[in-house]
Amino acid sequence: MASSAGHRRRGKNRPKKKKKTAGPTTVQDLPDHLFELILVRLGPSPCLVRAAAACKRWCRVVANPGFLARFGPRAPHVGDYHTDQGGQPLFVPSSPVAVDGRRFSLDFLPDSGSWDIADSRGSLLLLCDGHDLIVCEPLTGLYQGIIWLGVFRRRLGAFLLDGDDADRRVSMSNFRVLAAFDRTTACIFSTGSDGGWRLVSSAITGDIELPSTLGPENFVGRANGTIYWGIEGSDTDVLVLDESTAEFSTAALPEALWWPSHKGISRVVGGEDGVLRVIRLINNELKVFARRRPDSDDDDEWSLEMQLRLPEATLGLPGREESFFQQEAMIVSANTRYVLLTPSEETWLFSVELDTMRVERNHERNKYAGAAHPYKLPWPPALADPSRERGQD
Amino acid sequence: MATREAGKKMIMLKSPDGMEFEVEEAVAMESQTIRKMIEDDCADTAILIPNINSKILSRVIEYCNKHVPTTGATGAAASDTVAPAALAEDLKIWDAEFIKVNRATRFDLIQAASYLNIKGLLDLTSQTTIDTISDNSLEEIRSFLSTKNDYLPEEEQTIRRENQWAFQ
Repeated sequence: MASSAGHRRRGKNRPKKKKKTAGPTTVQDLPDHLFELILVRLGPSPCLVRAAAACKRWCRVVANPGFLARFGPRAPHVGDYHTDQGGQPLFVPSSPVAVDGRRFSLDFLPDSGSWDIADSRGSLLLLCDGHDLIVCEPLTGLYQGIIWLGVFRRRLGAFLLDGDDADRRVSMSNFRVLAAFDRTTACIFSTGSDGGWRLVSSAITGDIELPSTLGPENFVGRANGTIYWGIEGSDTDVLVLDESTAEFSTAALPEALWWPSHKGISRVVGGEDGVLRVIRLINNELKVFARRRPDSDDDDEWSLEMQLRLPEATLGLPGREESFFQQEAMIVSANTRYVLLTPSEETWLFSVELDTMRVERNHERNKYAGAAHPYKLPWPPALADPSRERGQD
Repeated sequence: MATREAGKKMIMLKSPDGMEFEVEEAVAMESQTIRKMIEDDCADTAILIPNINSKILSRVIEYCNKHVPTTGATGAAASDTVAPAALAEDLKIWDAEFIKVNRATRFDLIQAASYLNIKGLLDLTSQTTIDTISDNSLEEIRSFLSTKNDYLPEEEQTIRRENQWAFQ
């Protein structure tokens, strides 16, 4: 066929005048839905915020809650601050890099070398130097020192919570700090005009002997609004702190999960869907148990999600020595995404992904022998819908 | 592509400026909009494509012609056939050349791809637009897209101040 190349013009060549005004098509000629389709490709990024600032129409499209909802309910995770024994916290961006890595430096803090990261939430970090607390936002360089009640020598930990204004995201003007001192006392600091420290005392009932030596090293994890400390010598009990009430209590985990208790081999983490996970390392075997119904106290609700023999699973990884795993390995840290482990013979860090069971040695996160604090962009951005200012669209 | 069997069903596409394009039905059916017309028997022998001038329509046909699956291109499931890796790579290179057009043409192609519902072309055109603005400053974004800044200076200052992290 003559027309096999594709198409053939048949020349009734009488171009009509275009209806719209002359001139090339511009971005403003696109209807809103195409606009959205283009902008959504920028992802939840600084560039999307800059695009919204280009003109009012773009801002209206981006600021629309329906548009922002397309990126999911969570603020975009841009990386983690890693703590290492005695070293400065280090930011490791997750790929792809949305923001220049230098923007996450903590150099703006006073006496910047002396702070350890205690916790992170959204775009904020809570740091502590042993005496004082400071909350900061590295991306903006804002920080606030929090006067600390120095009377309590030993504390269980300090944690960042969302602010009192639940309708606004956590920010430098809307956050709370939960300081757990001992098994009976916690304090909550909140921002705002009627903010400041508030003391909450708990009377733990029951006949559980809590050792007086409980300290931050007993911290085993945090999940779904509850913070957990292991109790040495107890086969089932854990000390728990409710983030919403700041009250302590004790809880029992099934003996099959928690025995024997020891801080180096047990962790508690949460999950996306309210699931509670217990990570255990017994005889160099990593086990992950999960309870899917958060309110259930039934021991049968726990299921074994994962089981991994570390001596076999690490074979062939770079730097793996024959001599490893003669003794018990240790959990260095754990979060909702992965567990960081090392054999006890020497520090040789590797991680195990919780959802895939993949064992990783070369990942950047395996370079730091400490907790990883996830860091997110201040999201959603503060964009006033210009159509609202005009009254009606 | 070079040797096509004779006797393929042809469709006539008409642009509003009076041009007519004879294309294989399979090529035209790369557009989900046209596919639906054909399947619903709404299309006789000629289909008028409103709002898309002959210059843009010919580019769209060129795209569809390249992207129509080469084997079994008559059945309804033909466009779902996954192209082998080599073919996919070839298409990527071809796409990159195809989209080297000026801004106005690209925006015309976006609108045409949207109206005709050609997912591949819509992805290509919108991603290319995004590639020109990502990692650029606000001023660069405005100039790349010829957007007119209609903010009052103090309004722009507010946005910059409240989202300072996005502007450094």
